[in-house]
Amino acid sequence: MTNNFPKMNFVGIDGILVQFSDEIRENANSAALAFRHEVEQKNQSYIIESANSLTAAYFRIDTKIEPLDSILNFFNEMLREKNWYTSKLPKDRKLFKIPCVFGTELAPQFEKVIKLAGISRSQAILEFTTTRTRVMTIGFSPGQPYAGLLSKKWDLPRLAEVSKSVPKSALVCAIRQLIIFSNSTPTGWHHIGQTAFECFNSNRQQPILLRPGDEITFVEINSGELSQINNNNADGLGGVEILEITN
Amino acid sequence: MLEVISISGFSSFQDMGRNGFRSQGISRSGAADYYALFEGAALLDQNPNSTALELIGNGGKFRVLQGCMVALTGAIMPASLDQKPLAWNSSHFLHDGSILELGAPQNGRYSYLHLRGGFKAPKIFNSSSAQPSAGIGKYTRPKDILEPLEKIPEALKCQTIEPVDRFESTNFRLVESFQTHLFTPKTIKKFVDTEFSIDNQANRGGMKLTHTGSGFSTSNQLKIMSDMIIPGDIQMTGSGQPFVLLSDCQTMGGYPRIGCIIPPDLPAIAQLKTGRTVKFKFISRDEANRIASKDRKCLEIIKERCLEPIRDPQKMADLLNFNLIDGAVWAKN
Repeated sequence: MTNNFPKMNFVGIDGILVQFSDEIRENANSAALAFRHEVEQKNQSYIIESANSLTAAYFRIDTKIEPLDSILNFFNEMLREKNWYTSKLPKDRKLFKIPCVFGTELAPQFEKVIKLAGISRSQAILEFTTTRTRVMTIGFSPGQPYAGLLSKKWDLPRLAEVSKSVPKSALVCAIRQLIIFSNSTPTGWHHIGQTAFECFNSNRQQPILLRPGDEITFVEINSGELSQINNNNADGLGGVEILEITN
Repeated sequence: MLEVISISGFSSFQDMGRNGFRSQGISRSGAADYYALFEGAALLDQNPNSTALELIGNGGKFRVLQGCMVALTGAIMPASLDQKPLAWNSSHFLHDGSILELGAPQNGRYSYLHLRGGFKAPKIFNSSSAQPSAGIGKYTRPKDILEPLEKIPEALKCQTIEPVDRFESTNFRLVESFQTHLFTPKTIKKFVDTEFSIDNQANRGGMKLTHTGSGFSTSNQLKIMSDMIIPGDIQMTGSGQPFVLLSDCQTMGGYPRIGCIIPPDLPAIAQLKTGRTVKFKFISRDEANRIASKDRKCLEIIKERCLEPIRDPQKMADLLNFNLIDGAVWAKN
């Protein structure tokens, strides 16, 4: 599959998607982050906005400013410039250590999910509290991270039927990724943990803290500790500890 | 300046929406019917990005605290000032102490109340469009005081506007998008041959379509990687049921999209009431761009659609009966 990539595709009438893979891979994510960053550095007036998905860079373009052919040429030349898959992650990355209750009535799908993954509760918690997952993209809703990749046993499909609403700050998983929900939402992802970390909080000077390239790990707490955090959580930080990544 | 006495639940301030924040997961938002913003701006001689009040559902009742000029556009609501009927698609002067009443929309879902000078609303991420479900802004509620952003002293004549034709559409145009190829040609053919109905599950984020027969799925549908979503995309949920995504749709999602409705057709589908039927057809990207650029040109000269009222605006109740809509076809042909 990978020899068809990178490739360009269209999103609606005014979007270009430069795709680095059709399956989730960390090097394709690094490529997408670096490609978008370097295109942005070129300050092309016809690019209205840009963003990253897990393995692609998206550009909304204005073909009134520049004809489509010449825009596509520009992207093609950029793609040929180097091997994007070996790109380094952005600088100034941070590690977010987020307190989380795993399972219990707060996160009812935990037991079923560890059974599907074929591991015990303690093994699962050990993995979530020691693995540092990368924020591969921010999307869906304000400030919401898609983090990964978890090991292969977490390659679980989403639920076919969307569950009724899962609360804000829920930790959910599917297809080797973790998400902390910005807002309560119905979802096909499995609800395995509950945090008090608000991905978006307009009371904060920086309403959105997570950026692609940052890393997330979890600190296990019980529901009593979560209530304590929630009692004093106007800034929505949810007891997070934020550390600089130096490497 | 107006005070809200009553208002339907999901009404909120909207402008043309936000650009440039997708990378932080912020939706585009903005009025579900952007033609209505252009029409209101033409009537009040102001910027189409001025903040308007988007009314959904049963309308509202407002007390005029300070004389002001307003315009009414979008889905037609029965409107009155101190119980005297007001014409829709028109601007009106509202005097101090009067009561403006707007009823349930007749021919669509989204109606707009515009204020001369624009409503004053907090700008969040460069836009005053509220998206309360994402924690951005709030719904407009009873007792809210709606003030103008700018007080414009000079008087303006009341006008009426011939609205852009968009309330009777049944055929919608799509372009292929990056996931169209995930569907087999057979599934795509079945999709364009199917007549869909608008379900009652519809809001500013999207509207569900129903049909008889099986759903529209791709293989391995539940493991497709999440990727970019834009307003206009038609996504298939887990059961293969189509959803048309609108201005408040999320920035990213994992359900596959069969195609994308072209922007000039989006206000029309957003306005369709529950039970209305729709069909889709794919057009080339070139044709879509030609239609979009024609649409832009038409909006640039939207003021040409303004007419001076034929008589005293206070007595224009029967203007609703004039055939202003049927003749207006330029956005489509």
